[in-house]
Amino acid sequence: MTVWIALLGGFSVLVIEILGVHLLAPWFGSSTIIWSQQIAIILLAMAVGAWFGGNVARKQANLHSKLSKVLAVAAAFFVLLAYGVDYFAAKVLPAHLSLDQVAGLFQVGSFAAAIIFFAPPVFFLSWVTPILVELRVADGSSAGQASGRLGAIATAGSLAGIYFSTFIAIPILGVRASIIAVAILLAIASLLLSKRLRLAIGLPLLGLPLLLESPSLYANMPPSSTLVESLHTPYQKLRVIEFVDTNDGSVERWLQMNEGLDSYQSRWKSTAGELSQWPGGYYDLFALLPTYIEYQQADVKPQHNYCILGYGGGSAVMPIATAEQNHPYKVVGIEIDPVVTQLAEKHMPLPQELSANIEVYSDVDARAALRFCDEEQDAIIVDAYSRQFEVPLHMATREFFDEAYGKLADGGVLCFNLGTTSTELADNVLGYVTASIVASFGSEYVRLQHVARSRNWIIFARKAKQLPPLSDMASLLPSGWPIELGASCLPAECIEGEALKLNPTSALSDDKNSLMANQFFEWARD
Amino acid sequence: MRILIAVGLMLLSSSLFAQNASLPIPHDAKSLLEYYAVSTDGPTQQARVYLSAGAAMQIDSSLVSVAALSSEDRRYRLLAACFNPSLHSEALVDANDWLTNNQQLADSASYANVVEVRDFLSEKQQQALGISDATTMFVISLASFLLVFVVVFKRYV
Repeated sequence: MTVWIALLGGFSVLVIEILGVHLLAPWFGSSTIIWSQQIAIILLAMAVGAWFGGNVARKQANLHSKLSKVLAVAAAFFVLLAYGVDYFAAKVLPAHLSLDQVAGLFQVGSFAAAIIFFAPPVFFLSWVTPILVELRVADGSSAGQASGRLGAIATAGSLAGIYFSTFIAIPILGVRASIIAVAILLAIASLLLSKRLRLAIGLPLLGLPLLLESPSLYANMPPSSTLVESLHTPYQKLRVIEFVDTNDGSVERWLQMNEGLDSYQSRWKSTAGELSQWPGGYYDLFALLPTYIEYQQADVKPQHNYCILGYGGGSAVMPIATAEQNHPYKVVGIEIDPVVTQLAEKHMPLPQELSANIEVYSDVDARAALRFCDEEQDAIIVDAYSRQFEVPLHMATREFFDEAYGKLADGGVLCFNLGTTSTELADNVLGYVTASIVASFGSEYVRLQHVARSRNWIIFARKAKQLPPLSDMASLLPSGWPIELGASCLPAECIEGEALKLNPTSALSDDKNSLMANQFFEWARD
Repeated sequence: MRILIAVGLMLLSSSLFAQNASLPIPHDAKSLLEYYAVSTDGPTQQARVYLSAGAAMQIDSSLVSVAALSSEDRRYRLLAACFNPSLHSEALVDANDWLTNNQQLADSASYANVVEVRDFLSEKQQQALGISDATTMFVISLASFLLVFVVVFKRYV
């Protein structure tokens, strides 16, 4: 029995640690800062719990009874947290906020929620091992042997908790059902210890909260949007939302991750049943790529090869397809989360005729995948976000941009999407990422273009050939493209030339990278 | 993003865009860039055109040569500031000043447009206060929970 309880204790702690972040994600996101905070709070609760648990084990006479009560209390906290986080967050968070407003609030909110809902069950579960050690010692084991063996068993339980959370709880059972299931296991263990098995008849009551609809489905919804579908994946929480314009009947859908707000991972627009060529926002600037690739090339390339790192729902494809017109092209998309592409195919489908030009690979990290891409790419689009406003650290370094440079054909273009609150180069995220790209490509081959009506910049960098001068853009662009795309080509909306002669020491590297902290403080400050 | 869409709608609904245009109004990317290349319009009209395209930073660039900004120029700068959240509080002060200093335009579309801008920025300010209140609420909840937990723990454990 002690072995199973030690196993269950270790298992339950890791389930809270991992599923806890998934409970927080719809409200507060799951940035690296929030993950670090969650781990820190769990470890603190474990340390304090083990301390108190040791004292209780030493002082108390009836340890079986004590252990039974501890497991019952932990089970109660599990049931509470399965829904408490949602109701707490829904009650306190204001509605209709934007991403640039909330970074600081989310930091405080996630900290408070984690302390209130996750620390107590972990605190009590940490009593289990000291009590079990004391019981073993009372049965004649040595203290060293008992603590060593029980520690090993609890760790094995934690290991099982990690894999259960990632491969069973999130994709199959669901986050809340899994937490309730663990609560029921803890309650059963408690009843077995106290020998009150008749009370087991009440265990199904613990599952009653599952009948309630979770408020997290509608967490941080933008105004006038409606929910189409929402689900958790091992990587993130995803949802598709919809805006319907009753004036022209157009439908706009966003694929959002985690905290949602006014941000999107993919965007899709349809009017009168016809898919728009221009999803809007920064995606439209990808239409500039064929013009940039072909500028001052001796011969027109027979086919343009695009590699999109962070393919999402494929929103980048429509502007590229529009710009390529009848020119052959091929798109290879890398999307780490396969559910993203599945959701997009279901709710944000691309025209069937484009599918012959597109190959999408999932469950693989974009930087690792780049190494296996063919050489001679004509464009590499980097639109990868590991969290809502976090560019993955390893995809914003000098070494990564060197790898991208090596994969590009002469005159090929790197195109990097950066969401930032900055509007000028300084010691900020925009400055550091730009310095890293400039270090690989050279300042004379790089241009930053601000996306109209947006907080995004697109950084274009061309391999060994200059980008077309802004003064030539009017003659290079065809008619009928969105006016906002033209706005991004106006001189005051671009940064290039002398302004890009940045301090090379600002470049980020795989070894030394301040991007994460800078991203967080930049958004929190604003 | 929705903030920016709201700003765009505010601009379109103001019906002010078509006034005083000496060149054809740009309607796409190409015509906007052609307009930029050949325009001999005054800074105010240029600011109007760039605002319609969402080129907020280009507006300041157009108006930088203007020695004394007219009330219309200031209105465009206010609208451009709506695109940049870090300028919102400053722009709210400017919007109130604009309304105070232009009472004679009270029946005009420009005045109504700045009222819309002022209301939009006020809403943003209210949201900022709401964020501050929510932060306080999280801290109070945390402190209350810790207090209750310690009391219950000492009492029963």
